[in-house]
Amino acid sequence: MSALSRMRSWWRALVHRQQAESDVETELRFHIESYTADLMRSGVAPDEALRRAKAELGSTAAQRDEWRASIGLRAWDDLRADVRYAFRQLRSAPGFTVTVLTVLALGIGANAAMFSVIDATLLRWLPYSRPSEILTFTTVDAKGTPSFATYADFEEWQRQSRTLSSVACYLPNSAYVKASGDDQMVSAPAVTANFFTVLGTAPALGRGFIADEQIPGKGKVVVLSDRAWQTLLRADPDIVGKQVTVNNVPYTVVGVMPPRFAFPIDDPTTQIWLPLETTPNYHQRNFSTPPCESIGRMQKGANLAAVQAELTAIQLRLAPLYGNEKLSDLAPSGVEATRYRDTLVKNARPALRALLLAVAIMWLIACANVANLMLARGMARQREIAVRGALGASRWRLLRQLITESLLLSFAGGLAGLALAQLLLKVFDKALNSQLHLPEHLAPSSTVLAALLILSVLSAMVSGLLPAWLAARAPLEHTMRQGQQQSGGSRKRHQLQQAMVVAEIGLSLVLLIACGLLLRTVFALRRVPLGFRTDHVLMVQPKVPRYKYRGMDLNRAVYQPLLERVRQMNGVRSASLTTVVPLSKGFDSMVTFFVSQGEKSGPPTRIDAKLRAAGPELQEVLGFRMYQGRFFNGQDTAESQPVAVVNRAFARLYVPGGDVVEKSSVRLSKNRQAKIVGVMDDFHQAAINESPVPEIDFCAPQLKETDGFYQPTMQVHVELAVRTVEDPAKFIPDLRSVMTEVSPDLKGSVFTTMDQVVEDSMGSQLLAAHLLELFAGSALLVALAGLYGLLSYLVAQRRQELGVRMALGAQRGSIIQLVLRQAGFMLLGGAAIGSVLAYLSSRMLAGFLFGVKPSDLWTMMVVSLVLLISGFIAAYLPARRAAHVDPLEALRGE
Amino acid sequence: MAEQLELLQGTLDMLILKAVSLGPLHGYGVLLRIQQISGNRLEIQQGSLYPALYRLEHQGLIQSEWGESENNRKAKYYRLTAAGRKRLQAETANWNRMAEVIGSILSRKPEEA
Repeated sequence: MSALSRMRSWWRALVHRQQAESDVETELRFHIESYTADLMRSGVAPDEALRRAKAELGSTAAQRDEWRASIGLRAWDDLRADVRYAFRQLRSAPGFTVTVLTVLALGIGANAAMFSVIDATLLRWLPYSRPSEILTFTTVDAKGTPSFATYADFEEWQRQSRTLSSVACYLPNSAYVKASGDDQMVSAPAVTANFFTVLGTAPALGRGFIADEQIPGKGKVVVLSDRAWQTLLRADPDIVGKQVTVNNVPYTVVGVMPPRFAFPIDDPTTQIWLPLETTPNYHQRNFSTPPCESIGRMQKGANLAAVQAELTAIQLRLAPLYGNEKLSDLAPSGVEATRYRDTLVKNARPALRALLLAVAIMWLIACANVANLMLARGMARQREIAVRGALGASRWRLLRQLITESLLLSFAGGLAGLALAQLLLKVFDKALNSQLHLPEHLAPSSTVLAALLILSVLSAMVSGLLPAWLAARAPLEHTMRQGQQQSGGSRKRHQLQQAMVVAEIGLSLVLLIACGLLLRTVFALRRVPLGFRTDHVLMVQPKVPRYKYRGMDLNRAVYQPLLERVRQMNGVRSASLTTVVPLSKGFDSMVTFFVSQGEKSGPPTRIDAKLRAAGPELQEVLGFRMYQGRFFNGQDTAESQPVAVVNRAFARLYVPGGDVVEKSSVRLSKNRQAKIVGVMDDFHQAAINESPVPEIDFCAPQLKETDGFYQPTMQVHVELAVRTVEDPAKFIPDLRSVMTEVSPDLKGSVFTTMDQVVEDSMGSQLLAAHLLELFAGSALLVALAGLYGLLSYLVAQRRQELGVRMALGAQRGSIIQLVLRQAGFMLLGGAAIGSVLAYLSSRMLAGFLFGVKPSDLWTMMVVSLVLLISGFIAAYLPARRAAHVDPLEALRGE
Repeated sequence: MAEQLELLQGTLDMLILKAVSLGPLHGYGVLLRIQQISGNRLEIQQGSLYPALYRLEHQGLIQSEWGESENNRKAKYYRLTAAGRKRLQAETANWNRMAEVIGSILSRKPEEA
C-alpha cells in the first residue's frame, strides 16, 4: 500500500517533474492568497499582508526543494547535480577528456576482448548437466604411443569401474540428410544408447536411443539437433515418429535435442545422431575393430587421478586379449582421462593465461596514466575546488563530486572499450577460431558485461580516488591566498606523479620484451628450412557423399578421373594425389614396423612411421629433394614392381647406416613386396618446431585394395595437391567449377593453400605475437604519452623558475638538459624495474618460444633501447618548450 | 491571547493527521484547523507545514485531489487514507500512554519517592 504511494510520488517527481512542480506552486500561491486575505481582514495593509504571508512560508524555490527532500529525493537530486556538473567540467576540458577516454578505452577494451575469449573458452558454458564431470579418454600402448581402445574395452570399463558412473561410445561420422529434395551434409556421430544419459541432457521432443536400437538392423532411428530440426525440417512440431532420409535410407525420428545442445561441441556443422549398431566385429579385440571414442561421467567426489589409475588397471588386464604376444605391445594398456572442457582449449590455456596477464598489465598502465592526468588536473583546479569549499561544500561533498567525475569518465571509457573489444575480436576472428574453436560468434555475454562494469568502477577507484582525495584535502585558505602558485604539498605530489610514470614505463617494458621474444620466435619459425616448397600450392580435399559410392572404389570412380581433368586445366603446372598433407593438423596416419637386425636375437627395433600414399607428381608439386635414389615416376604402374620411398629418419632406423635403396623391401600383402627405391631428404612434416619423424611412402597408382596399406591410406583420406602458375587462392573458383563439372557430388570439397596450412601450424605463436604487438604497442604509446604529459605539466609549473634561470644567464642547452635529465631518471628507473619484472615473468612464455631463450639478453637490450630512444623523443618536445620560455613574459606573470 | 507554545518535535505529523481526519482540508485549512482546535495556543511554522504534508502523502497516509475552495479558487484537498487512520489511532494511543507516564513521573511528590 505504502510502497505503491511512494512509487507514485517518485514517478510524478521524476517523470512528470514540471507538472508536479507547477502543482506545488499553485498550492503555495493559494496558501499565500488565502493568508494575505485573512491578514487584510484583520486590518493589515495589503502590501504588508502579502509581504508577511510570503515571508512566513519561505521562498517558493526553497519550498520546492523541501518538497523533493521530503519525499526522499535529495540523494538523487545531488547525484544529478554532480553528474551535470561533471559533464560541464569535462566538456570544458576536451583535451583532457579525450585523452582519458582513449587511455581508458584501450585499457578496458583489451581486457574486455580477452574476457570474451576466456569466457568462451576456459569458462565456456556447456549444454550438459554438471559438465565438469564429463571426461574423455585417450589410450596409449606400452610405449606411450596413441592406440585406440575398442568397444569391447569400453564395455568392460562400464562394467568394472567404480569411479565412473557411466561410459558411452561414439564414432564421429558425416551423413547426408535429404531436405527439400537436396542432400545436405551433416555431422552424424553414431552413439551408444546411454550417450545422452551420460551427458545428462534430455531431448526437448521425443526420447533418446534405447539399447535395442544398437542391434544391427534395428538402428534406423535418428535424434536431431535443434538446428537440424529448424533448418532441414522447418521445425515441424510433429516430427517425432516421422521419417527422414539419411544417406538415402529412411530413418524414423525419435527425438529432438534442445537448442544449443551439440556434441562434439566444437563441430560447427549441423548435427544429428544415429545409434551405434554394434556388429559382431565390435566385440572383438584386434586392430581391425572400428576405433570408437568414448566419454564418461565421473562419480561425484572422484578425481581424475583415481579415474586414470583405475581405468589403467582395468586396461592392463585387457591388453593381453589383443592377439599374439608381439601385438600385445601395441595394445592399449594406459588410459589418460581429461575433462571434456579441457580438451576444447587444449594447448591454448597457457597462451590465454599469458595474454590475460598482458591485458591486466595494460590496464594497470592505463590506470596509472589516468591517475596522473587526474592529479595534474586536480592541481589545476585547486582554486575552483577551494572556492567551492569556501562557499560551504563539505570535504565529503567535494570528494563525491570528483569521484562522480572519474566514474563518468570510466563508464564512458568502458563503453568505448566495449566497442574496441568488439572490433578487436572481429579483426582476430579467424585466428581465434582456428586456434580455439570458439562458438560461432562472440557476443559479449552477461558475464563479460558484468566484468566490464566491475572493471570500469575499479578503474575509477584506482585512478580517481587518490587524486580526488588529495584535491579535496588541500587546505582551503592556503590555496585561496596562493592563487595559481604552487603550494607546499606539490613536491610530494610531483614525486607521486613521477613514480607512476616510472611504473608505467616499467610495465610497458615487460610487455615489449614479451612481444620481442615472440616476434623472434615467429621469425625463427619462419626461417626454419621446411624442406619443401609452400608457394603456389593448393590442397584440395574432394568430398563426396560416401553412401552413393558404397561398394565402389573412390580412387577409381572419382579421384583418378578428377586428377586427369585437373591436370589438363590451364594454370596448373602439376597435380598429384596424397593421403597426408605435411604440417596439416587434419588427417594423419601412422604405421608401426618391427625390424629384426640380422641374426642377433635381440628385441626387434620398433619404428613408428608416418604412412603416406602419393602420386609420382608429388615431388614436383612440393619440390622436396631426394637424398638417394629416386621418387616414384610414370613407370611405377599397377603392373610394375611395387616400390616405396622412405625418408632419412626412417632409413637410419630401418638398416644400420641407412643403406636401404634397392636393398630392402616392405611387405604389402602375401607375395607382394614393395622395394625401397629412394630416400627423401628429411623435411618438416609433423611441425615446424619438431624434428622430422620417420616416414614411408607408397606409390598411389600401385596400391591394390587387397594390400594391407590400402585401407589406412587411399580408403580413408585423399587430397589433391595442385601446383598452380598464378596465385593459388585466386585459382580456387576455377578449380571448384571444374570439379563440379566432373561430378556434382564434389560440391562440398574443401580448398586450402599450402601457405595457409603453414600459417595455421604456427597459429598459437602467431596469434599471441600479433595480440602482444597490439597490446605492447598501445602500452608503449600510453606510457610515452604519460611521460610527455607529466613533463609538459612540470615545465608549465616551473615557467617562472625557468624564466628566472634564463634571466640570470642560463643557456637554452642547459635548460633542455635539465628537463631531459629528469626524463632520463624516469626512463632508466622504469627500464630497470621493467627488466627485473620481465625476467621474473618470462618463464610464463617459455612454452611458446622457439629459437630464443626466455631470458634472451639481446632482445632485452634492443627493446630497452627502443624504449629509451622513444622516451627521449617524447621528452624532447617539452624540453624544447622549456628552453623557449620568454624570461620577460614569465617574470611578468608573477 | 495566551502565550503560544512551540510545537514538540515530531508532533506536527500527528496533528495534521488529526486535522484531516475531521474532513478533507486544503493546506491552509489544515493550518487554520490546528490553530482553531488548539485555541491559538500552538505556533506552527508555516514553512514546515507543506513538507510534512508531502511526506505524509508520500507515505500513503493521506491522499490529495484538486478541488474548489470556499472562494471558488483551485485548491488541493487532503484526505485521510485507511492507512492514515490506523496510524492516527496508533499515534494517539501512544501519545496518551506517553503523556500519562511522563505526567505521573513529573507529578510525583518528594515524600513518595
